[in-house]
Amino acid sequence: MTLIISLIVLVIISVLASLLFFRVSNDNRLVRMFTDSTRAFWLAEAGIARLKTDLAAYCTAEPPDNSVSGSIIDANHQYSASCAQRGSTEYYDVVSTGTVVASSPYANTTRTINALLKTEPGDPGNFQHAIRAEGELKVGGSVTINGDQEEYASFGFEDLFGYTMAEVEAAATNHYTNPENNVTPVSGITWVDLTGNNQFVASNSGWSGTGILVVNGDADISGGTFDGILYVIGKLKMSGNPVISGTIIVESGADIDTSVTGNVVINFDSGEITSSLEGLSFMGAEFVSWEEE
Amino acid sequence: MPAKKGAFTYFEVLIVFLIFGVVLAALFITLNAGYFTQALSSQEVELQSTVRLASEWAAKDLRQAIVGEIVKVQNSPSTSHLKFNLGTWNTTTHTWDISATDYIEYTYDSQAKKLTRTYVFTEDEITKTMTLAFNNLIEAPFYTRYDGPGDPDNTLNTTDLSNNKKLIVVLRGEKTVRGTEKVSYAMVSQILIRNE
Repeated sequence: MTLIISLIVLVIISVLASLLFFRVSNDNRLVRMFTDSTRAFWLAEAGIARLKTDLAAYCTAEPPDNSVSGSIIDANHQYSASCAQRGSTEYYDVVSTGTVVASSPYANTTRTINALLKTEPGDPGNFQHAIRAEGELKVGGSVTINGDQEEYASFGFEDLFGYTMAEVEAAATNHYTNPENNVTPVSGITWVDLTGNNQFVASNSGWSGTGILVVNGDADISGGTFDGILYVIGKLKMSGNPVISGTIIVESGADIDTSVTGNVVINFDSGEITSSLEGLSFMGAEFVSWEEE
Repeated sequence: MPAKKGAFTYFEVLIVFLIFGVVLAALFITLNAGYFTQALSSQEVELQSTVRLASEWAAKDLRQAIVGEIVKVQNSPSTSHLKFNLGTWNTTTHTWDISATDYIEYTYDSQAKKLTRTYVFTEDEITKTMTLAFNNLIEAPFYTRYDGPGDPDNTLNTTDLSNNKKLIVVLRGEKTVRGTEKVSYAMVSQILIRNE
């Protein structure tokens, strides 16, 4: 009798224990799915955040350099994000996937976010002259200027570029203070700060630069080539054989002359201006559309 | 002298039955408590699952909604109702193309304690409807200010929603088990709506 009762009790307890085990493991699985899904979503968001640290670099690069990947906490929590221009528009498609790698028998959890990035390039229509200066423009020698020139001009940096000086400086790809002569690289957005009697000097015939070059001080250019927008906040002296394609703007104040002599060639080139302004595109970029797959 | 027979006295049998009865009663109480606990935890798991699922759906839908659509007066936004038309960004006009026929609608029925998600969309020129219902939810889910369950200052302010693009989603579930015990579970999330 005692044996039978003991066996019955044992069977009942075993059944209850089994039920409890399956319920707990099922509950555990559901919670695991929920947490993995949540983690995968935020990993995908982390991918976009990582791209945003340098949108201009990632979005203008060719694959596979247009993508970024990594992990957070450990190798089981991964993100991968990429950016690609939509045709030749100002729009860029950003795709980011977060993955939580699960151990067997569970499957990996992934979530993907698609976002559309709209860039805001500057307006090339704001630049209509080969050279503009706030003061008197002294042109002599065998200078060639193809395009309009304007002296005693009135303009504002923000009106021209659409961004303040501080914003452009912050977005500079190259930033120099009192650089050596013929400094390179000068590409994308280059910001040069000068103190004391230091000048920005480009004298070497092999020197070349592109993009937007802002010289915060005096500049002496007597050689090399530059394609894009040259903006000088100070006194500009040009001589020798430099060739500038794009536009030159001199914010010198009305009482400081801009001197252009020698065999200087200045070509107004709207194409170069447009290209150089692309460097500003990602400064005002914003995500206009966001969706999860 | 007659041989003594090996048998239990009445008193001994009575004691055995008494002990047997006590053991059975203890067994019954234990099993009953186990069964009740199992029912309680089963309902709790089901409730948690419902709340999590509702939270995930609401978060996913609302994150990719267009905030301008949610706050439209004709879409009647309130703590118990949200409706938003779906759109795609037009890269030529630089604006949203809003479809009048495709929309998602969340409706909370306080009497039925039910939150219903209705997704209306067009496929192959046919309008289709997909409905999901989440039961046992005891509180309206959508707020811009939430100070706690039943607080009179809880509200959905469309101006705040337009400015901040943040929505508080409260999913509070409650279920009665065997007529006496209540199980409850709540998730409160702040959702940042990504599209203007």
